[in-house]
Amino acid sequence: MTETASDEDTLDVIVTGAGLAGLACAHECAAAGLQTIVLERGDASGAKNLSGGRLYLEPLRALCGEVLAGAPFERPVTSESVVLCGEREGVSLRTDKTVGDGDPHSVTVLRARLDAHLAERVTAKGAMVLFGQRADSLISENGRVVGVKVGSEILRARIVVAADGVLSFLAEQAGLRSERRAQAYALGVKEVIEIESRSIEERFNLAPGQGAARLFIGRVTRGLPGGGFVYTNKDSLSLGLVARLGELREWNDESVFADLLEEFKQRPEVAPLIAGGKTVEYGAHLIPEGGLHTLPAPGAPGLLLVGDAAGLVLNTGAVLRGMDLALASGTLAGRSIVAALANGADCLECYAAALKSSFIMREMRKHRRAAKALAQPRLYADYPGRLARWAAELFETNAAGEHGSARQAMKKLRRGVRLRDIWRIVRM
Amino acid sequence: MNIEEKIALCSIKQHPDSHIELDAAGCAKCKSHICTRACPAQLYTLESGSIKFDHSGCLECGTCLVICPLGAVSWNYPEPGFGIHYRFG
Repeated sequence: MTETASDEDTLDVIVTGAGLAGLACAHECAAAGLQTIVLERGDASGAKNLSGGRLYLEPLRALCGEVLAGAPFERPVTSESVVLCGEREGVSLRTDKTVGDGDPHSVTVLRARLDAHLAERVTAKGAMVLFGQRADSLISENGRVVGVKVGSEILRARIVVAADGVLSFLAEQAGLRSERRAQAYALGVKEVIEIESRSIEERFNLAPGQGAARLFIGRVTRGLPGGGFVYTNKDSLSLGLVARLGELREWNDESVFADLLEEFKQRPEVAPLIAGGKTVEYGAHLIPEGGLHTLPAPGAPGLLLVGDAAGLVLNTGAVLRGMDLALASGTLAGRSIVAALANGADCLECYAAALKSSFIMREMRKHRRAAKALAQPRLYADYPGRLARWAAELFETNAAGEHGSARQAMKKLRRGVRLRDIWRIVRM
Repeated sequence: MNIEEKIALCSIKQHPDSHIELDAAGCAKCKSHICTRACPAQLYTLESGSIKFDHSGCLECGTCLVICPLGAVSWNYPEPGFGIHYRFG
C-alpha cells in the first residue's frame, strides 16, 4: 500500500518524541523539504530523557555526521576499565589509549545538552519542534495510521513516527507490543556528581579533555544481572547502576534497589573518585534490553517505530548501546520516508529493509544469545567475587608467613565454575 | 544520602492529580510488594498491610508498570508541562 497523497490539512511527517531517534528522523525529513512536526511532551528537548551517558560514534560517522556536527559531547573515552567486584575487593582490567588526533571512538554525553542541540539543528532544517505536546493516541482509518491525537486536537500526516521511548504507548496501541514482559527491560538509576574538571583528570589519570569509562560487575548489584558505571563528563561524573527487571522482580533481598547506589559509592574503587563531589541530579530510566527475540515489528501501515520505542538496544555484556542505535534507526527511518514518499513506495517496507541491512540488525542478530547468557545470576553473584578474592590472595601472606602458590590459587578459582557458563559466554 | 534527598535535587513540577492509579484489589492479593523495593523514587510504601502510593517525586521511568506481577498499575505520562525535567539527563 502506498502513502496517502498530500492535502492542505495533512502534514508529511509527525514525529512523536524529541529524543535522539525522533530528532535524527526529523532532520532527514526536513532536510529533504518534507513538512515535519516533532511533538515533545517535555518542556525542552531532553527534559524527559536520561542515559548512562556513553555514545558510540564510529557507526554513526557516515550515517548521521551532519546532524551530529558540533554536538556538545562531554569527553572522548580514552580510558576503559572493568572491575569485577567482590564484597570487599575488586579486580580490574584496564586499558588506556594514547591520545590521538583522530576522531573519538566513543564520547560521554549529558542528554539535556545533546538533545537540545539536536533540536536546534532540526529546527534550522525547517522542522517544527513543539514542546509541551503529548501525542496521546494514534488515529487510524481503514487499518492505517493517519495521524495522532494531541489533547482534543487531531493532527494528520502521511506518516507517523513513534519515537516515544522505551514505554512507547503508541506502539502498544498499534498492536505492535502485546504485553510488557519484565524480562525485556532493565532499570538504570543514576546520579550526576559535580567535580572540578582538573580533579577528574587527576583522579582518572587523564590528559586534559580526555575521558574515562569504568564498569563494575558483581557485588554492586547484589547478584542481580546488571552492573555499575562511572563516566567522566566535562565537570561532573555520571554514576549509576543497571539491573534487569525480570530478576529484580524475583529479588529476595530486603533492600531497596536504588539504595544500592549508596553502597556502590562507598566501594574502595569508587569512593576516591567522587570524594568531595556534589550530587546535582538523580534520575532513573528503563532500558529495552530484551534483545532480538523481544523486538516488535518496526511499524504498521502509516507508522514507523524508531530507537527505544522499537526496542533497539544492544547489550553485549561489556557494552550497552542504545543511543547510537537510536540515532541510526531514526536516520534510516527518515531516509526511508523521504525515498518512499518521493516515488510512491511504502515507507514501512523501505524502513524494514534499511534496518535489516544496517549494522543495527546485523549486530542484534549477532548478539541474539547475549540477553539469555547474561541473565545467569552466577555471573554476578558468584564469579566476580571469586576472581576478586583470587587476585587479592595472590598478593597476601598469612601470619604463619605462608604465601599460597599460583597453582593452588588456580585450583581454588576453578572450583565451582561451571563449564556450561563459560561455553555460554564464549559463544555469545 | 537517602532517596528523598536525591529526589529533592530534581526539577519536578507536580500535577495535583496522579498519573498512576493502582488497582487496590490487585494490590491486596500481592505477596511480593516488589514495587516498594524497585521504584527508584521509593514512592510505594507498605502501611499496615496495604500499598500506599504518592505520585509526587515520580521520575516517570515506568518500572512499577513493567514489574508489577499482578498488572495492578495503570500508568500514563503526566500532563504536558508537568513532571520531571532533567537538567542533565
